[in-house]
Amino acid sequence: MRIFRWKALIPLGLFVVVVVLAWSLYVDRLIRLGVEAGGTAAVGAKVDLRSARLHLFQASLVLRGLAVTNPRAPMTNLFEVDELNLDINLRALLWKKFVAETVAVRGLKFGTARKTSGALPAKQAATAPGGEASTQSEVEEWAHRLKLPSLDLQGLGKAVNVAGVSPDSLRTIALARALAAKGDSLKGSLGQRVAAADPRPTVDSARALATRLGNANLRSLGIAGARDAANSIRTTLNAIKASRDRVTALQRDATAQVDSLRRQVAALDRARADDYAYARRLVQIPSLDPKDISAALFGPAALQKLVPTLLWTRLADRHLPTGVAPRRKAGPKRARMAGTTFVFPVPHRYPAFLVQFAEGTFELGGRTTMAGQYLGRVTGVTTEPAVYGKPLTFAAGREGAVAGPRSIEVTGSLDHTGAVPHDVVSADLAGVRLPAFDLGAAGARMDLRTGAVNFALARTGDSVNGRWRVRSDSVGWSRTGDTVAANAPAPLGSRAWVDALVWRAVSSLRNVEVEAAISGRLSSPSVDVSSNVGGRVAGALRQAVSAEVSRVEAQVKARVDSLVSQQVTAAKGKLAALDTGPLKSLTDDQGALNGVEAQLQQKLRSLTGGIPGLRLP
Amino acid sequence: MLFLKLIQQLVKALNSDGTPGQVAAGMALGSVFGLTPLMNLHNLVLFGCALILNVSLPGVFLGWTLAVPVGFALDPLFDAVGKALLGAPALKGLWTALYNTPVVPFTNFNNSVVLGSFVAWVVLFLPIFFLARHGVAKYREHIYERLRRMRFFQAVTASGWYSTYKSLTGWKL
Repeated sequence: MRIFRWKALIPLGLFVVVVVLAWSLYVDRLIRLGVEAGGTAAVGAKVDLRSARLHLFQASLVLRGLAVTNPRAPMTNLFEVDELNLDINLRALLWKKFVAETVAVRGLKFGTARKTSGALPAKQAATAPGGEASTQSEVEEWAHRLKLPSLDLQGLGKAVNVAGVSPDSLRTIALARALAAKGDSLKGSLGQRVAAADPRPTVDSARALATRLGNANLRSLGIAGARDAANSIRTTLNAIKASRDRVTALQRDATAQVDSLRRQVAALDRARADDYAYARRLVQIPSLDPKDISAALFGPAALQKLVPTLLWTRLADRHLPTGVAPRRKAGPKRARMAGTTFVFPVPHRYPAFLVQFAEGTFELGGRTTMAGQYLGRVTGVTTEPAVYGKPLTFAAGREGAVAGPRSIEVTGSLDHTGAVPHDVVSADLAGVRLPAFDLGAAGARMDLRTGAVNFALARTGDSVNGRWRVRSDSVGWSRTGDTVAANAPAPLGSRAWVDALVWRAVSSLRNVEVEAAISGRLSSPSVDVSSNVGGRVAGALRQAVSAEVSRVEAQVKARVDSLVSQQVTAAKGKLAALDTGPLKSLTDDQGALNGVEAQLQQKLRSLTGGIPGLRLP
Repeated sequence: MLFLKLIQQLVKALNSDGTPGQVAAGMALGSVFGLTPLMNLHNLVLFGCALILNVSLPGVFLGWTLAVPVGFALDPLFDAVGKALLGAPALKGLWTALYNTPVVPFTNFNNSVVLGSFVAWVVLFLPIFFLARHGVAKYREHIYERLRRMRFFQAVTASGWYSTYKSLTGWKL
């Protein structure tokens, strides 16, 4: 019987021809569907592509009408591209990798409106692997948790209800109670260990030996007697040494524990300072620190700029993983179980997706700071930076602005090639039309008109440092509230009073500088806001209300002190009890052991005739 | 209708010109298309093999048809086997080499269900072959003559589709 059915080669050939024909007929559609599905999964919102055209023999791919929905605003596109011309690396396709050597981008527009919503159905959004929903909610939660000071002076001029400061809400009390409990517990455990290591039996026995030997010497005891006495002394000295070692170890341990407790007692003062600040907020006394006032005035606006920055940084982490260790991801959706797909990357091979170089012009619409024509370049866009081995870099500069002399340069690099990601982004905008700020806390509107914006962000691993600064020399001010009412006399601390005071302080300012700095861990950085406006307002407030603030602050401090002093005293008393109890006992034991040891050493020397090294037979 | 086609498939395979060995080899080979997820390169290669090798094509289709529900049912098992193999530190070098070899990634071997089901098929190939060969031989020896006198069997074999197929292939009943 023949093994091969050679006549089947013809149908097999026909089958291959049919497959090739079907592929050439449907490949463009498949690419379009693939881009849409892959993009949607990566962005977490709809990605639409009007058409795709693959020219296999020219190794080029043309994508037209690409629209990527902004997941945070589904009726707006994150960006839209009229045409993308890609020169693709055919060799990489053999490895099932997509590598575009150059990409020419034409008609890139940001923030364009969509005719239909690009939001995913709830079920699909929940399962979208690259969905940014969770990252976005984490960042928003951070912003929500961030406590920005307020410029609320309503507590001034009123009888302050300090009784509202509850003992349960003061950190000092909880800390002092915990310290007292720790002190008790430590005293108990140390007492037991001191009792267990009690050297008194050894000391007593040594003293008895010393007394028994009295003035005995070699002549009175004879050779044999002196030898026995010397041996007894040596045995006792060994026992003293062992006992002293135990006491010394215990003393070292006890001292370390008591020192730790002492440091925690020192933290009580810091906790009390925090409690003063908490109580001050509770009775609505504002801080007169310029930084706090700047944060109250510009904090919300600064957060609006910083939240997207943090969001993009964290999304970069999600989409640009570090390292080349094998990774796992959900398998493809199909009728069969999806399973898990393992990836086994190797450095300096083709990454799964790579755009080596892309260049294009783009436009930002509207009449905002950034509106205008730009030229941008991006290199090294890849899903596997460690495999590619080069960082993603980007640079964009403005070629034409909507109005006036403009200079905008944005550069950055996202280096995820090593184990620790290192990202740097900077943007410098000079002579640009700046937006107006509503200072809700001051009932005023600040129009920055024309000025400069600088932004810089550096991130290494989990640590982030960023700065956003706005400067203008031609600021205009207007009141947002009722001008007549605002000019009328108002009670101290009322909203109208604050508005009037802030207005008097800042309305003559023409040079304004606002700086927001972000630093700390990427998951929960701290934010500092400073501005010369804050300084001016702080000065005016100090002049107007410092006596009143001091009076209320004194009341608040007295209330906090009265609530916490008992517990703090108790905690400090426990610490003192440790010093006078177990620690002192251990010191006394050491002294007793040293004393009796010296006595026996003296006796031993007298028995051996004071000749060093002589040992009786 | 599907059931009828399955019966026809069964009848064609069991009564074709092929020897029990050819039918069994076809069934063992065809079962890969049912056991493993279909749209992968290894299935294209094995389909070419099924055409080129002198195995029973009805046997291939019968094996495929019978293995589909088995494949679906055993997916969790395949997934577990695939995960164990792909996650085994001792095999990391092999998978890394395969993953970075041209064309091989199109087999999707790095998917736990694909690898697990493919390994299961490799392991089950010979048992399926011997079981099927034994079954076909016994069927032809003992059951076939009794079956062909049954009206249901005659109805199935007398259907237009079957007649067309028979006339085209020349396989005898």
